[in-house]
Amino acid sequence: MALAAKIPYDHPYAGGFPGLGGQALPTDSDCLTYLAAVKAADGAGVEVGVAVAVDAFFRDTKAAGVFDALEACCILAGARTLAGALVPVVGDAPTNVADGFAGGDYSRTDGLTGDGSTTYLDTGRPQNSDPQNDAHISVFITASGTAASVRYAGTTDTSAGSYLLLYDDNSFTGAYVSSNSITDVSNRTGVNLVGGTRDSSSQQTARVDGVSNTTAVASIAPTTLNSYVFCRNLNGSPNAFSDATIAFYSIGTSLSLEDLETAVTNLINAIGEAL
Amino acid sequence: MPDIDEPLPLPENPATVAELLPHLPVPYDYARQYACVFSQELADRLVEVQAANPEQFRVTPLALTDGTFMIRGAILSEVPNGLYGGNFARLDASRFDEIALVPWAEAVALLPQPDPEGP
Repeated sequence: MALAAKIPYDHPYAGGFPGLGGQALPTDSDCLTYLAAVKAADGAGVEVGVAVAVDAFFRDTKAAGVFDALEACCILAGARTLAGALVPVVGDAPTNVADGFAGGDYSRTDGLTGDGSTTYLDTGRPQNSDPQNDAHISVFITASGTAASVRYAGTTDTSAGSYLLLYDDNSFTGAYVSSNSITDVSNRTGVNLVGGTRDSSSQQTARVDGVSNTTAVASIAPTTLNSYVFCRNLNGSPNAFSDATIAFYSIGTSLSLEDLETAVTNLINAIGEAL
Repeated sequence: MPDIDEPLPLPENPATVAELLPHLPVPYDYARQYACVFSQELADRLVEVQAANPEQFRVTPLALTDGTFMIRGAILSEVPNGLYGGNFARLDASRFDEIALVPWAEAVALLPQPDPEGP
């Protein structure tokens, strides 16, 4: 990585030094707004290389038609500090809910690692913020945890019987999306994107580590519980924690999990190359 | 004559958060060995302080099976000026000797077992 790519993206010479050529800078207006918020939280702008990677993510998700489906979303990598990583890409996800995470849990290239016992993020997004038959949830995992049975994100409301959940017990790995039945992507470990989406009342799709499965599962009205990340929100309390490393999460309306995975994979790889 | 910039040696077995006050922030790898364990009264006070300052980073105390509450010791790497510094400054420092530092594994063993309800 050239030294120029290490300059903060908003440095006067970020686009290049006079007489020494230039380099691309972020241009997407939503991305620039996000980068400014991250800078405010971090205390300094991210490097040009990171900023361009984030810009490509905004551009690619918009081109693929998945950006508008992201309603609560954080890129848990790239930012200089954990505070910057908790700045939402879109929506009003809380930026101040670290719930026990510390800077030592955060890697700019790999993401945020749970402790498997106490740490989680409250997305602030109730399950019923998205329509019963138009919802998704995803995390991007860069390192699997050691715990045998975990929930990477979501909700479990046992009284309503409606779950929005990313599930992994080393036998079943898959998702519930406004339902009480899992769509399993069998014999998979939860590394890379783990997601679930639903765009109809009759079926849901789960995607784990590059493989998708769609099954007939009737939808059930979503609940008012906020989705958590690194565990589930079980009837209002964090439960079944994961010690995986997660570099991205999103919740919102239905989308192409494959297109989202491509965009996030490119983003995390590009951040790694930039740093 | 010790170097004026040399940090104070960290206590090997600190009993309470009060003992660590001169050392804060402590290194992450040191802090994560411990859990901060305290009474329900202090847990309620922490929640109250955080609720009054919703713009600051917060941490949720978790109930242990013996009636006490815990938060990760790792947060001591983020005070007084880090992630949790805003609310830390609003706590009553005179009561930090009531916050026990317990080895992490011992505190985790007192967390309620994962509830098998639902998926």
